[in-house]
Amino acid sequence: MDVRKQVALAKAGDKEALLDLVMARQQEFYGLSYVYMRNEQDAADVLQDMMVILFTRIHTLKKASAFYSWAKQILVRCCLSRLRTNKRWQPIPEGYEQTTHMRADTGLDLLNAVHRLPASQRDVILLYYYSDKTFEEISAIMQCPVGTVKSRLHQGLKKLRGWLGNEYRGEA
Amino acid sequence: MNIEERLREDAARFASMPAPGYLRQHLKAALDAVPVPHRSSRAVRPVRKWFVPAVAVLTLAMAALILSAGVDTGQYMPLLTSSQSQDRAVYAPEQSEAMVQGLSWDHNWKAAAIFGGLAVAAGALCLVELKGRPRLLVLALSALALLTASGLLLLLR
Repeated sequence: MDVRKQVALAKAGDKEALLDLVMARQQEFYGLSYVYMRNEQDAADVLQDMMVILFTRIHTLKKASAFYSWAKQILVRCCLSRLRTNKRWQPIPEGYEQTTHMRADTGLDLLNAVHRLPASQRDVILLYYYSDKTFEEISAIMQCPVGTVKSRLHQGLKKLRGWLGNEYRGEA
Repeated sequence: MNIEERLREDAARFASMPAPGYLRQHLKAALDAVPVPHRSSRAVRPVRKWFVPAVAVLTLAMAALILSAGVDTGQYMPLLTSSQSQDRAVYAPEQSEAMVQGLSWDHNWKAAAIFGGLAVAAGALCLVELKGRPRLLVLALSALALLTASGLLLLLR
């Protein structure tokens, strides 16, 4: 698929062209969204939010070749925004540290543990490990100094080690 | 396996997660609810990187031309007006005055021609680069016309 051509069509108001662009990498988009939302419905809803923003803002995109990184940036912002407004988060339950290792084989235990972190640490870990962002990019997204980003990452990892054990045996 | 390695492994696993089959319809439904924004059929191309420096260089050259012509005129004027120079030109006052005036006139016409050329070049650049932005084009051409008119007036006074 010719990304430049599709972007030009989308800029001219062709919704199908934009849809084709996103669907061409649907796994990446859906996976990223799922990492943040942790359930299928919310992940799909956030992708809807992203699509609306992409369609209304695509005329501001200068380089057609940068479409996918731009779209993922928007998706991450949509996810973070929805997570902040989502009030369904529960505080860490008593004995969480003891029960977590029991669910190591479910595949979601580590991600769940990440989501149990305070929002600032959770966002940094998700952006750094799951969205492949650099410290500078995270600093720009979260509007805080790079040092703060590193410190939050360090604190978050420390908490995860405390909860899940220093040598995590996920595959065991 | 430590936490960091496991996080990376997890990220790779989620990145290849299969999307639900209804995703396309779901996203299409969201897009269908959005009205198509009214935009010009031809997207406005951003100005090229060299446009602003090029116009700045041309404007500076025009300004330098006016200044240098002003300095040159200043050098000629005392020859014509000061009594000292008139005293010195006592042997052939008419010839000397005519020669100086002729030189100055020639020089000013040359400067005006170069100035005009630079103005035309700047105008052409603006026309080419600001074609899709009528307001900016009118503003740039008006400023250029004003600069050209005042520059030519100064040079040919």
